[in-house]
Amino acid sequence: MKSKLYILLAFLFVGFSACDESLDELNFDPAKLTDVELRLMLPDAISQAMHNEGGNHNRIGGIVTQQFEGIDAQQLQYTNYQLGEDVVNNYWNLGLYTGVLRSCQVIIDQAAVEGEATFYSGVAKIIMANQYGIATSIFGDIPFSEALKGQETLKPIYDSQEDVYNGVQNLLDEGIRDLQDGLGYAGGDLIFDGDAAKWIAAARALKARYLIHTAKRNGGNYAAALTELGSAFASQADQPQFTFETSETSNWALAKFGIERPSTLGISGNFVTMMDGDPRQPFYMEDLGGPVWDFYNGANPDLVWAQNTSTIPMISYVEIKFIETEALARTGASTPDIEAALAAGITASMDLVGVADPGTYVADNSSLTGLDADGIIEKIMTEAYKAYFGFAFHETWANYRRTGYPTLTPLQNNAPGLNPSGVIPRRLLYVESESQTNAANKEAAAARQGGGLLDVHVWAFE
Amino acid sequence: MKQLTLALMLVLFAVGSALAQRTISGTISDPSGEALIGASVLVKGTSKGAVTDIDGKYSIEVPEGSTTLVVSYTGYSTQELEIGASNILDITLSEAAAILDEIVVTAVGLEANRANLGYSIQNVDPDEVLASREVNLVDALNSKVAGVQVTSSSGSPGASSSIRIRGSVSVNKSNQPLFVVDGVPIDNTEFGNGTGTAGVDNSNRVIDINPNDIASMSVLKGPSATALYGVRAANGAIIITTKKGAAGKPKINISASYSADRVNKFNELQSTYAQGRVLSGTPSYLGPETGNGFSWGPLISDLEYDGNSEYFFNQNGNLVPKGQGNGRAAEAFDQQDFFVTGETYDINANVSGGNNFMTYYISGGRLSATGIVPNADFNRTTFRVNTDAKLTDKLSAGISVNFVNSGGTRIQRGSNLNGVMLGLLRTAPTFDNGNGKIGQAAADDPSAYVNPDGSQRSYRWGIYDNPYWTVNKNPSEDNVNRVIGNVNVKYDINNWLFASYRLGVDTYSDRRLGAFDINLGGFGSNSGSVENRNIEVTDINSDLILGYNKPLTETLSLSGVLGYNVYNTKTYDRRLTGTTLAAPNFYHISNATDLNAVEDIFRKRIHGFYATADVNYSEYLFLNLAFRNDWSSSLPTDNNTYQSYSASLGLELIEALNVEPNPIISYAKIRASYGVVGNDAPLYATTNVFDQAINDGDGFITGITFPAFGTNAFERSTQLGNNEIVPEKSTTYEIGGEFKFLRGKVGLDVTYYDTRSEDIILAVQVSSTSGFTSLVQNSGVITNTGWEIVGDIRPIETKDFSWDITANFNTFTNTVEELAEGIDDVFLAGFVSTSVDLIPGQPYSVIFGNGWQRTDDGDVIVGADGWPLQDPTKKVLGDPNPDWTLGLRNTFTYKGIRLSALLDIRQGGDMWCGTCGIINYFGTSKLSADERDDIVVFEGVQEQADGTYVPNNTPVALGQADPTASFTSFYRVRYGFGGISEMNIFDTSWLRLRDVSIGYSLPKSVLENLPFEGLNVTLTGRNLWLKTDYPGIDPETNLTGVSNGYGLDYFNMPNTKSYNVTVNLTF
Repeated sequence: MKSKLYILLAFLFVGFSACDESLDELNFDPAKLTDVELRLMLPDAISQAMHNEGGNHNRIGGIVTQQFEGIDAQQLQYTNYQLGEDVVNNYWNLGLYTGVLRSCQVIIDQAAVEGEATFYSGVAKIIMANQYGIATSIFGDIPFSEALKGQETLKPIYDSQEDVYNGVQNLLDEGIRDLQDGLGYAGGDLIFDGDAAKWIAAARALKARYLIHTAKRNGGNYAAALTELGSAFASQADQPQFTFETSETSNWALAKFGIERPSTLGISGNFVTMMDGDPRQPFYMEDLGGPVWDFYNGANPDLVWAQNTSTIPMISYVEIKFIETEALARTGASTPDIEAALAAGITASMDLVGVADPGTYVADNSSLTGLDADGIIEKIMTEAYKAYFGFAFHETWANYRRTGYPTLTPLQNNAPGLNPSGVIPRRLLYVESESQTNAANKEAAAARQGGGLLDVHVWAFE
Repeated sequence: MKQLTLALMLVLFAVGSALAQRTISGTISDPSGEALIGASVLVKGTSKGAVTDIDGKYSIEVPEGSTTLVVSYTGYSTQELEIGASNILDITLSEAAAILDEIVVTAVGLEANRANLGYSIQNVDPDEVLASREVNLVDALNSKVAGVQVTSSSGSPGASSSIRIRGSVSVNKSNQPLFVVDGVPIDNTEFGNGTGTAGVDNSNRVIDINPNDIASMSVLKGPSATALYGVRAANGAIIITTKKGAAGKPKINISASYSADRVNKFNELQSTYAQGRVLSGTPSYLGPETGNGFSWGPLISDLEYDGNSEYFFNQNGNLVPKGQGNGRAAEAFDQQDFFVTGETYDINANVSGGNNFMTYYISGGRLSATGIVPNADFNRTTFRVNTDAKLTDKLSAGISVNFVNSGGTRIQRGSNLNGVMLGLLRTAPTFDNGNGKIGQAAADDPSAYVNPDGSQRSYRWGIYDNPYWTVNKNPSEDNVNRVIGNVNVKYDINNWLFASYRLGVDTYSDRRLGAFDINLGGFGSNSGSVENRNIEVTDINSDLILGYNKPLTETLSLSGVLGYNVYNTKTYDRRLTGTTLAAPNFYHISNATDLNAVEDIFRKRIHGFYATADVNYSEYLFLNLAFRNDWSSSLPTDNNTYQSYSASLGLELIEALNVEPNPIISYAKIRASYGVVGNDAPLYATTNVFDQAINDGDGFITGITFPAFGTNAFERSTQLGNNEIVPEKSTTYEIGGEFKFLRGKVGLDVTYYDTRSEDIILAVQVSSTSGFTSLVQNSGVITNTGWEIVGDIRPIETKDFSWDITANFNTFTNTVEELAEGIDDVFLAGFVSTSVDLIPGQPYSVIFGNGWQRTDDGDVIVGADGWPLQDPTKKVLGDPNPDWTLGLRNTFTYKGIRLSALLDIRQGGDMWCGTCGIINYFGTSKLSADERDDIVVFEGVQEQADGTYVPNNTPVALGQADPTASFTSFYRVRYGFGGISEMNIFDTSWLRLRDVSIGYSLPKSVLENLPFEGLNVTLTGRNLWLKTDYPGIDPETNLTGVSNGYGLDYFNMPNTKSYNVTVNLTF
């Protein structure tokens, strides 16, 4: 009896204990990869970059520049400039630094290790540069030189905005150099499908964009921008752009917002008035009988910037033309040349949204007759303001802060705790997670930028 | 039933009887001469036994050579009697001093006498658990055990409840205790929203245990009690033993119970002002067709209907200013009409019995509950078979099998445009969600929630779901099939050594369907989705034990175990999500246009050996030692082992000092213990991996999920793994004492403990600018000190009447001493704007959010315009932990009648009432109506040009009193959506009648003439009375279920009060 029992016990015990995997094997997640090819990483970097174009930070840009207006909930709060340090936490963390920038850095590092993969590192550098450029225009000083180094630097310092903009130009130069080699393409480029030359042309356009951003600090940048534009793409067909899909898991952010946060955000009354009679108006907005006009209506395929399948430029031919117009105006070009560039910009905008016949609009609005230098800038900025709607809110906001145009009246009753002088916000506050994880560097950066509240200009736009 | 029982008896227990040499019989009675029914009589040293019948009589066959009978009965001292010459042996048992023979089940299924332990352990009376009529066993423990905090997430049927013993010690791992059923740890996961703020109330899986099957429950609080379970019981353990049969004829028990539930507390809403907002200084009506969300409109009494029969938002037409319509006055509707009476039927039957060789307990139970929200339900069907067999004199074996089918229909709640409470509380008082009907009738009538044109009928025309739409069009169902069982064998090697083996399994599948119907038209913009979710969990637990119990000398005995345990768990969680539905009202994955599939796999193994030694010197000095060494797969391979150990000492002074029996004090035990429990790491925290790519980073919209754009993609995980983490360590000192005064009429048990958890493994949030958002590391110290006091008094005791008072008092300070270097904050749960966090120097789970600017003296700083200024930096605003809690039960017994009431007192503890802020913002709250015309001067100070402060004296209009004010400048709107966090922090102190019950058992004299042995009828009221200043729903609620964060209320489902009747029949 006893021996039978022992056999039984031994059987049960051994039978169960003899498991297939050892303890250390069990701690690998069978649902995860440990190595990934570059071709399977690039799509993520690209689509994250393009998803960001319609993100919260850009909608806020649209709100403070009075193209959008909050109807209720948080969007109304933003309209009141109640823009605390938590509002773009998600963008900073998941959209930017551990979003697209993280993905670009992983690609750059892995391409260097693999060798002969300069196509991927080049594209990643261009995307990264653009994302840094947009971010610094919103926040001023941001982590750059010590960023994305993982364990090595868990608390990166904030570089001055000047250094960040310089870094952006350097990254674009490096990206161009890498793409001139352009080795190793094996798929995953959702924008140009491996055409390095087109990426180089896009990088030139981006260099021009950020030269203009910093032109208040360096007057020579206007001429430099014109030089860059000489090698940039020369048609709508060659602009870097990205088409989203119908599925709710891969549609364009503004359409998503319209669907998932219905009737919290509409078109500002000022903008409705400004667009009255403009042939682009029905492509931008619709009066659905709500308290304000809507930018989204799932049933209206004309609203080009709020379709699931909208095509969004990373930098548009429209913008190139407006950069050119401003640079010409700033460098003393002849009025007809400026007018021609302006007309080209407006025409490009009409083309982009699909206006079949702009009628006399272009001619009526590209004339600079009777305008002084300041009036010309106001004119250009006002037309850019109308033309950039839907896809380049960050540039509209940057233009406004650089030039003060178009003229906007700040909202009353806004939150004085965050915006003591009550102006149209000039930046966003650093985000809450940085207060919790990188407080000393964040506070140092805020301190050297006059406290960093909403009414303090970033260095470039002062 | 009887035939079934007979058949079972025949099949299972047809065992030949042994030859007997002699028959002894007699009567067993209590000191008053009352016969004791069901007392057990055993022939010492054999397996021969008998049970007394209804007259207290027994008859037993005594083999040759046996000389002693052992007689025992619950609540009475066990007696051993020499068998004399006579074959008649009448026995009188004396009542045991309550404490001395309280058997508790300690770790790994071992029983111990509580008096012999040097650490705190508390039994819960299973009758009390049952009498509370809670569906979820966790809720049944509420206010009944000192040091145990139970928080139900809501009053939804089947909703999860969180239980924490002595506060919280972990950050990224669960702080819930281990539940052990019949020696086998079981799974108590809540698969659901995690720390998410939307979704439905899911169940925690302990809900599958049928309280009717429970024979005893012990709560192990500190590491001295739990060291044997090692890491898995780092948060304490609840040890459950299920019922077993006793030798004797089949005993059948049937109980039937009915409960009716109502909402016990609700937000106060206004019925004065209409939907609308202030336009150009005038409160203007803006109806559903405008999509306007606010109720800052004109007085309802200034409006009337226009009689337009085409207007589908109201049968009486649209609202127009008085004089412009048909004269029919505008109405205000009571949103509470949505709620219905929830009903619960709980039917249970069991049969138990056996003979000297085999005992059995077989039960079946069916619980079906409907909720206070129409269409919500929860059902649970359980079967259990427990059998124990004495195969030989030395070998015994048992099998226990529990099958459970549970699940229900869950309702959307929380921060969720589809949530019932969100839609309900935001609804303007002028809008009738039920379209002329209320409750279930409205829920059953599509015209309440679907317009004739197919769009959604709701107060914002499809933006927030009409609650009746939600309960019909957003189904969320789950169906769990679960088997929990164990087989065990025990072999007595000799009279002081045994070996046993127990193999337990807990496996279940949880099949879920969650859908959102197409909501298009009007402002609706949801093209619909369906999610199929399949969760499979299998836990296997194996224990091999060698036990010993040896008297070393006359006065010294030693007992203990050596054991080896393997625990293996695997979870597969598969989700198939389909979006863009083709046909309405068809919640099947085939209806979706786009599909996305995710599978998570969790697997882990821990194995360890353990040993205990319990020394008992002269029944007054007790030393308990325990040690366990674990190896866990979740730790780095090179450093995957850790130890848990404890030592406890108990000294009973009356015996030790030889105190003469006296009427003042009869028992005084002091005890001290020290214990260390190790804890392992979260799963997969040692490596860096690539996840399937998701484009995120917005906060308002969902991200892009790959595969998309014709390709798949992967991205590096944002968590930085760490292959150098070491196990966590939690150290507890505990001292206490237990005393009996006035011949046992007064009892007191006091425990003080001090716990320090170090090297806590946490995924520390790091600056995302590093390229990672979190880093797993050992860091952090959390301490917890507290007092637990259990008192019982029996002020009156006569033959027929008794009055008992028991009190459970609990107070603790659970402090986050430090987090990782340079880390000032760990997010636990909540929203970006208001969350509950861990912050060094602060209590666990403090409320963190936006507050006012304050001077160094703490005065609110008010701007020159008279409005308080918001501080740009967030801060700690509240502490959800109570200062103390007290559960006070009074029980009165008169003959067969028992009246019992449990009063639950909670002092302190804050809650963020996000709901309050939002309904103030939208203008539907009573407060927003009451203060609408007020002009106030905010208490605070204004800064002077020289930097000094003077008291604020600038009046401001809170609402429409200032005709020039735009609507966005109203107090409840100007600070943003829901106001700033500090405006919505409230104290939750409460006084509640948690349960009150009156039961009546038929007396024996009546039963004699009836065909059954016992009949009991009990009426129970649960949560009938609640007194609190908290402005929202019942503050016993938590938005994030059983997650580690608590203190948030954001459109949580309300709680319930209930009335119950239960009939219990034994025969």
